[in-house]
Amino acid sequence: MKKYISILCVVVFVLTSCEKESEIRVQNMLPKAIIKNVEWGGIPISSQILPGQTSEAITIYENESYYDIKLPASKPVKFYISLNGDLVYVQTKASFRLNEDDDRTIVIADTTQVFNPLLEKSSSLKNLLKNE
Amino acid sequence: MNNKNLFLSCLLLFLIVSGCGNSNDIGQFDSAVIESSTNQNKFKQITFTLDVVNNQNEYLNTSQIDSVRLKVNGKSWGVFSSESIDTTGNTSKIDGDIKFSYSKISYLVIAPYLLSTDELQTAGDFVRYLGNRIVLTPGDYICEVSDVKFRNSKNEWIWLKPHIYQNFTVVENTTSSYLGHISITIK
Repeated sequence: MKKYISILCVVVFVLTSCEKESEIRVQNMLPKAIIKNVEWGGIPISSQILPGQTSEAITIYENESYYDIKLPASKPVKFYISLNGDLVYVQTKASFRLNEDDDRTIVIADTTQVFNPLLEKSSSLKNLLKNE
Repeated sequence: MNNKNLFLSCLLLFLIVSGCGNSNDIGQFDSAVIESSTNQNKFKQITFTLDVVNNQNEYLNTSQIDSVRLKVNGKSWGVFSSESIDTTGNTSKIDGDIKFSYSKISYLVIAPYLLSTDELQTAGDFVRYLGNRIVLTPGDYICEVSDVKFRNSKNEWIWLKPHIYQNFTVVENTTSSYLGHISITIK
C-alpha cells in the first residue's frame, strides 16, 4: 500500500512540476517619472514603479484561469505616466510577446512608442483628412 | 463619389479646418491629462489690452492684431490673436501702408495657456509634455510680449519685436489675471 501511495505522490509531483510557468516584469527607465497601474494583457504587474526600478516578477502558469490569458500571447503594456502629481494614461504601440516557460522584462524607456487613445482618435482623423 | 458623400466630406473638412484655426495643434494634449489633486485650480489665463503707436503717438488702426507671442517666466505661454474690432472710418492717416488713427484704439488679448508641441509619440514625449506645462502658484510673475504681427493695408506682414515686460500677480484660488494695458511703439 505504501508503495502505491509513494508512486502516486511521485506521479502527482511530476505532473504538477511539468506545468510550464512564465515570468514577466516591467522596468521603468523614464527619468523623473513614475509609472503607475502597470498591466500587461489584463494582468496587473505593479501599482507603481519608480524611475530605474524593476517590478516584482509576476508568474503566469500554463493553464492560467485567473487572468483569462493563454500563453503564448502578445499584448501591449498599459500604464499611467505620473509627473508632479499629474497623470496621463498611455499604452504601448508595440505588443510584447510572452511564451510558455518564458522569463521577460519589458523596459519602458524614453523612446518607447506609446499613445493615448483619446489623442490618437483626433490626430488620426486630421491625418486622414490631410491625406485625402 | 455621390452628392451625399461629397457633401459629408466637405462638411467634415470644414469642421476640421475651422476647428484648427491658427492654433497649430497647440494645447490639444491637455485633454488627456489628469491634474494633481493638490493643484486643480491651476492658473490658466492672462488678459490685457494693447495698443500700437507710431512716433507721433498715433494709434494703429487694424481690425485685429494677428499674432502676439507671450512668454511667462521665460517659457512660451502661447501665440494669440487679439479680439476682432470694427475700426471702419477711424483712419486719420496712412503712413508706410499702415493705417493710423488720432483716436485711441486698443486691442483686447485673451491668452489661455497653450503649450506648443508636436505629436506625442514616445513615453519620453509624454514625460516632457507633463514637465513643460507651466504651473503658476500664487505669487508675482513677469509676462514678456516678445513679438507682434499684423497686416498693413497691402496685406503684407508687419512684424514688431517689442520685448515688453509686464508684471502680474497670481492670487490663490484664481485661474486668471488681468495684466493691464500695454503700449507698443513702432520705431
